[in-house]
Amino acid sequence: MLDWKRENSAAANFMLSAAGWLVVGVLMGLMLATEFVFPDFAHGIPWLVFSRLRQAHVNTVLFAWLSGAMMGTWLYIVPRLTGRKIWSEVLGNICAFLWNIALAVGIVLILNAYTQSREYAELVWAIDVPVMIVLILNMVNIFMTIRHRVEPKLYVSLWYIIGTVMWFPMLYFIGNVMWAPSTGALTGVNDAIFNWFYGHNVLGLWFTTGLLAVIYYIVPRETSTPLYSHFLSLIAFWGVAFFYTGVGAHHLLWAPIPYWLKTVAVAESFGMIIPVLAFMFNILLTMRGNWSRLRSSVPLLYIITGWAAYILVSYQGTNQALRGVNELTHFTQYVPGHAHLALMFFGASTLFGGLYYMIPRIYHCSIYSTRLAKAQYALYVIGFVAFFLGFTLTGVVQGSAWVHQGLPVWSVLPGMRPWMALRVMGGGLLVTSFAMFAYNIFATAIAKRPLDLPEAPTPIQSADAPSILAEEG
Amino acid sequence: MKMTFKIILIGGLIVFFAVVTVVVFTPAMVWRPAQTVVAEQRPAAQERGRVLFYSNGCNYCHTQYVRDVDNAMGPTSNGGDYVFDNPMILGSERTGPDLSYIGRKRSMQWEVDHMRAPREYSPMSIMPSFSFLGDRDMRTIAEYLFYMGDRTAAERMIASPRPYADVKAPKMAQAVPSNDPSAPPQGWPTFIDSTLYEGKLIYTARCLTCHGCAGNGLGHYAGTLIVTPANFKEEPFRDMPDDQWFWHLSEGIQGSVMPPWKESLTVGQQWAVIRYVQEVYAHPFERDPNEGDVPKAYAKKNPLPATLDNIQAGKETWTRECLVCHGDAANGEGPYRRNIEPVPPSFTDKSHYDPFTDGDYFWRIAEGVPWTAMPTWKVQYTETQRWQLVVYIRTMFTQTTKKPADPPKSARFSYPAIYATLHLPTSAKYDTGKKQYLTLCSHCHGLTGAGDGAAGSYLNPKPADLRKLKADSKTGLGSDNIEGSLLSRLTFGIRNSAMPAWGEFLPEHERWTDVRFVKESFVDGKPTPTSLMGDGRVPNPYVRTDPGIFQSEIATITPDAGKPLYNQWCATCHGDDGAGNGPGTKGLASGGPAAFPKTMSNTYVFSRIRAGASGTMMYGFDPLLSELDIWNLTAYVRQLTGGTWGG
Repeated sequence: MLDWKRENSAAANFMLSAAGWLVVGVLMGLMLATEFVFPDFAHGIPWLVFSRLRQAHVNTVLFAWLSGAMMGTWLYIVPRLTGRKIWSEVLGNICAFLWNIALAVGIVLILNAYTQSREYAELVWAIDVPVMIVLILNMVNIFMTIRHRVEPKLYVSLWYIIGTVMWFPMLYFIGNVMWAPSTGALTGVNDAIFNWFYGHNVLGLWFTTGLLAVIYYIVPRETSTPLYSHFLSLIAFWGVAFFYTGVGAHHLLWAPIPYWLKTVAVAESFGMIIPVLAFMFNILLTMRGNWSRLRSSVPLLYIITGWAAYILVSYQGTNQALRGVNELTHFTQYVPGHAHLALMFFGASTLFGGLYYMIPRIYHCSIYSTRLAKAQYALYVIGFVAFFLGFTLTGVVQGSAWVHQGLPVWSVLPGMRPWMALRVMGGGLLVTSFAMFAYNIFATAIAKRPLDLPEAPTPIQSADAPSILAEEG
Repeated sequence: MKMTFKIILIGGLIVFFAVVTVVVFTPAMVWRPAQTVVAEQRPAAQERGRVLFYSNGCNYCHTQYVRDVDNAMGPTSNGGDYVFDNPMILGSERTGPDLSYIGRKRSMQWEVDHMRAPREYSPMSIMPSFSFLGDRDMRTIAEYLFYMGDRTAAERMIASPRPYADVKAPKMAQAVPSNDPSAPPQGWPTFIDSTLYEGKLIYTARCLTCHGCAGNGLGHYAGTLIVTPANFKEEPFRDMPDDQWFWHLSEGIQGSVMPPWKESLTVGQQWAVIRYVQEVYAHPFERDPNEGDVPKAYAKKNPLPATLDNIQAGKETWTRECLVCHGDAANGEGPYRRNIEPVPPSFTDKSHYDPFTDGDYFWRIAEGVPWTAMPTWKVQYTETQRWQLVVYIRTMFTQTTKKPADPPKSARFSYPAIYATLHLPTSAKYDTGKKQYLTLCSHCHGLTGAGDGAAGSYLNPKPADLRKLKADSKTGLGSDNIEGSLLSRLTFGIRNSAMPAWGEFLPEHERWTDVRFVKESFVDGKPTPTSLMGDGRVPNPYVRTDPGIFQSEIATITPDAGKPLYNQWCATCHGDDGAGNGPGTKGLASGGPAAFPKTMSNTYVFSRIRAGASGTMMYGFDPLLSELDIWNLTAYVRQLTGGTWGG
């Protein structure tokens, strides 16, 4: 780890530190879920109070864990698709180091009530600056690698990575209102428009585009099947760029912002169906005949779960952006449920797959324990279903009580409690599962178990052999 | 389509900025909602509270915008409500209540206490305790919350909108006469000519239930409303221009239940009631009422006999409507007296009221009195009810009608049996009851409960000596439960006496506080500590108090001016010489006060008289005596202890 020039060290450092952050982040989450049921659980401890911890939890899982791991996967993918080593391994390691330090300080600051208190843009300006520096240096590193590439053709994953590293620094700058250091915000209701433009695009133009690159990379690799369609990839890529950019205002459908802007946001949200379906069919048809690989490949199992979760969460999101549905779900726990479906199921699952795929390859070893990884998967899915139902049903109770029965907010709280307890139970399973993941990944990197099938895993088969079997079956 | 590096970069930028221009830059340029009445540039203290509020993440559970579909949260939020907010903290989750209009719903202290221990104040809450912030920070947050949203248009005095801007009051049939003594008589004819009588009728029928007969915003329904009705005695009403009056009356007040009266009043009627409120409440000056003689239609003899039932019915109406101004003993010293000009009369003035006939009372109750706050009750009460009121006044207060004999024991009113099982709730506080006793009961029952209060002297029967109360005397509850028995008498009053049915006027928990005070001070005894002086420390709010502004500028503070006050209020317990053995202490269950120590400072004495001594019978005279009076008393007390005043 101390060798800053060793090949793939930047990717590994990003991914391993993120795996550590994951455990911290979900423990915070479990604490929050518990405080919903037992409000006095952390009585009198300032940095465990719900309102501060929630912001710290969001920033830990979003930026320290998901973003860190995602940037690590890019540093692994880009060299392999360009045929070039990463432009500067040292620069990559500087990024990983600065990213972790900046976030550690930022999260501690949030826990001590130094926050901008704008959702997803909580980090104070002093932390925004190093974050921007990392984003820009990372962009330079990836662009320089691509410029010097050997492989002339740009594979789909690279489109997404290019777009993501280019869009996000601009998004971050605009969304955090970085030209106003004191509060990091505009005055007046327009600030909410900026906030949610940024807030939703952390999902849309950062995690979605960044993680689809990982799915696009691993699915063909693990199935040894070329991607089904270039055309569908084009539709999905440009569709995401066009539709996702403008959905932010659907968070403000009932807030006092211009009516036309809300309509644009609803239309853009509905339009998201197009790139989502294109992506869905592209992967589905690539998987055709390869489903049996799910049994033997742990990374593919997680990646395909992430793919399915992406379809679900996108479709749910499109529906939630419709005015009639939004009227019921807005302000309720249904919405954080949706956010967890996106980040804890789509995001985390994709990155689990990515890390299980890449870490063994970086260290030229096998996964420390495949059985542990599969047991982890079982806990993950069962835990998430309970957890997600907990959120969603709490939200249903709230929404129908407020809108259909006209009940005041406080009177609904006791009715939410059973479902909030279900969320804690599911959350307990999830935290266990994530701890198993972190253990498995660190053990892989430390124990470096020799490969079961040295170097060349499966010989490349002719693409049609399994599909014939499938048709006969 | 071949995806090259250049195509992705340039294409990606074009698509991105094409959309961002529409959804971010365009709104930033064109969306400038105008400031509304809810928005206000916050003073520094509130701004600090706001920073504490959001940096502790309160906005992650409490939203700050009301949607069309939200029920009973206040008006739908407008972009202009937020023109001073930075950052925006609209919120995305509503786990706790929306706070857009939370201001003034609770006291600041409540907010602080609630932050400290949420479930003690709202049992279902799942809010964490924020006690770790410390009192100062919690108070600062409360400061922010206390001023949120609940600013009515009237309070903010924003300009009237276009259709109402600069509207002038129409010329009345006859201008309101000035207070020039040489002006023509200002009795009923002028009152009616200047349309004020029409205004009085409308006010009594439509406005009184909320704004109150005294115009102080404390009508019967005021307590049920979240946004309190306007008190016309205060700013901005004293100097409010006519167009503002007309606008608010016509369109109602945003965020309150004040209706848009243009729906049911004609323009002329609106102006009549505005003129009435202005002349009688907002900027009154005393005029000669010159009522003249009782009109023929009212010059009648009371058709109702003075029976127990009629007296009781009259008393209930009196307690409900008249007591707040005229007082329970009809001496004109009801709780709203300070809001009224001219002040309500004292019916104990025999030379004035002895010649009054039934018709005199009946007429004034029905039509009101010109140029005063006395409403025209004929629009709310039937003729029978008004006659019953006359019966009550004449038998109980002026004693000009013979009181019926008490009924035989078997026919007496029996108090509901449930009262025999009721006991003092722990929430009823002694000190609260003490203050209430001083303001509502002491003028009849006396400071020491001996029934020797000044206002009680002309009543028949005389007020009870509270020290001799027994559990079942008169109530017939047949129980030794003194607490329930006291509450029943307080609630239903005593038949055939002036003791009102306080249940008509005070909520139950306030009646319980009275019971607590009376029981512990007069019946059981709550021993007074021998000396409360302690180390002579002065409570915080009084440390820097000094009589400077009274001395020389407004009046002179002298022991001489304090002496009569001392004799009236203090000597009954503290004795003429301050030795603590006044006549009132004889038979007082809680014993007499200690002799005045010699070492008391001016400020200490002042604070004691003004705020009383918590947990003891020493009243806080703040509600009864002016600050100047209290300083005079202080000077006299200092003289009694051999100290010197001045210097």
